[in-house]
Amino acid sequence: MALLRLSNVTKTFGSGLGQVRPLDGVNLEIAPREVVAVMGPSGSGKTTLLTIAGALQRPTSGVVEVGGVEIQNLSQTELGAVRRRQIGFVFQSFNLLDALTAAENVEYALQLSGHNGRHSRERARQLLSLVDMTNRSHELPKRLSGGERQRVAIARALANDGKLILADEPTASLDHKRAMDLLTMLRGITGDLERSVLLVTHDARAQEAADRIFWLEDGHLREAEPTSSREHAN
Amino acid sequence: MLTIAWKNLWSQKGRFGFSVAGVAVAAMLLAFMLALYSGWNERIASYVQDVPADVWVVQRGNESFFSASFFADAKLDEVRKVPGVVRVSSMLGRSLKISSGGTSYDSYVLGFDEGGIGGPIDIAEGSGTPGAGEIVIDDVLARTAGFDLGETVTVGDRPFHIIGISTGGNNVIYQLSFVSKDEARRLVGLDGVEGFGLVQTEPGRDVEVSAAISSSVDGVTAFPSRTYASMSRKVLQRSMLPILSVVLVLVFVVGAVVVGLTIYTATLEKEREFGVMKALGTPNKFLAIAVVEQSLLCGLIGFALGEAGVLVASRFAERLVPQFVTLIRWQDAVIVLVGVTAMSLVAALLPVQRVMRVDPLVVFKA
Repeated sequence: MALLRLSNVTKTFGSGLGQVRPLDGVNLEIAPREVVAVMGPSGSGKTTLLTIAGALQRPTSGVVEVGGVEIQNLSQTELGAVRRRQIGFVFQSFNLLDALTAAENVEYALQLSGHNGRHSRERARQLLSLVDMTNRSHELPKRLSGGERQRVAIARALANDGKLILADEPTASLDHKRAMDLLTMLRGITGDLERSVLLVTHDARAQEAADRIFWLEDGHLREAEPTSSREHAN
Repeated sequence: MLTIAWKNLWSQKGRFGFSVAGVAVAAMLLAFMLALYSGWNERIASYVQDVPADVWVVQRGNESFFSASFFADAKLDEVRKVPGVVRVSSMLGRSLKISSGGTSYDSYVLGFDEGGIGGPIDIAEGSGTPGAGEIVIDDVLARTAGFDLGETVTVGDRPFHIIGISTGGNNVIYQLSFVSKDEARRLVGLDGVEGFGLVQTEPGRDVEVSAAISSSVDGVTAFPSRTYASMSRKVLQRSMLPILSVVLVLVFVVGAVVVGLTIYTATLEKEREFGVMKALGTPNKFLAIAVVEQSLLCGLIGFALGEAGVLVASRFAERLVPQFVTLIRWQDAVIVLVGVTAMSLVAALLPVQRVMRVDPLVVFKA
């Protein structure tokens, strides 16, 4: 069963001559433990795709399934519950809560998904250890480097028991080494923690971490050749 | 949620301090006004209550100790004949200037019967039984004016020698001074009149005796002591309550605006973070609770500081200005707490609405 399935998804903004259609009949499936990268130029609709897959907005038409459940007709409250329980987000600009320490940021997500008290503290410690942030767990985000913040964000994305992680340009704010470390980490998560990752990026390095790569342009999504095929072709 | 509320506030210490200080000042003003009102309410009729009379007899139409009361002294003979009356005394007085060294002070000068029911409640210094040319001054007036025992003051146009300092005669509007009944007659300038009849009755018969006096003695009305005290308090309540109400409303509005602006500004500044919280799936009601908690934290800390401030300020105020009578009651503290809580909740309304409208897609903006 696909963990995420988008069937003939269309999204339009505006009307008449000003109408924009960033997604036009998009189909996409992500299997368990799979890393899928969606690439494309700026403004191609990558983020719109991510927000629809992430239950942050509804499609104009089409079907969106997360964990086998159709979500396109759910209320905002129900969509919030889907995000809380089934989806982990990693954002380009990290989006940690400034007033909370690294550990508290992770604990916050744990508490949202129903973990409480001592259990959430212990679990946060484990998750931060997984991203090698144990020693910096009591620091506020402003005292962390970009790479460290992104690792905390990954730990936070792993906090709920959902299997789907959506990452929006996660390497955009990082230098080459940190970007590669992060992609390796995301790749490792899929195996160790049985997660699937939808990676939206225009960073070509992301291809290294992805099982499948899609190109999004003019609202249409098409699958690119596998990396090995491309290497052979070159 | 409380952690987030607290940490959000604490992350902007300056603004948090400003907000708490605003609430503290508002709470202090609320508490101070209530303490002042309670103090005045308690003091204003304390003399009427403390004089050991069961019934006060006054000129018909008089409704408080602060209104003029004159009736023919022969009326008291009729009062003495009413069944249940045990003992009758009287007082006569008027408001006068007491001067010394070119400075004048207002006082209500009362003449009383030596050995009778009226007169000073307690004597702090000297004697409590003034004779010809002698006066007993209330200690609040003595402290305000700097009058000392043995000093000569002018009352009306006549010199009086201060032979005693009394307590229990400060009723806020003015302080009581005491002279002999003969001196009072000269000061008032009327013969054959009395001001207030003071009656002791057989135990438990004050209401019945009051009614009997009012119905059988023409030109006077009698009230049980506690009723007359209550009527006298109404003078204060009628004049001060409307003013107090306006001040309380203004203080409430100012406090709510101060907290509201702080929380609203904090909400605007944290709008992206609220968006992040929404994107992570935080239900709207939890975000609203976090905002309300921020507002309540400001309010409750401000309340605690305000109450502490009023305890200190009232003590200093009474030392600096002896007439400044305050009474801090736990009931008033509860009223202030309720007021501050309401203020905080009102202040949270707009910020909560703002948070409700935050779009979680804001997290995708660079």
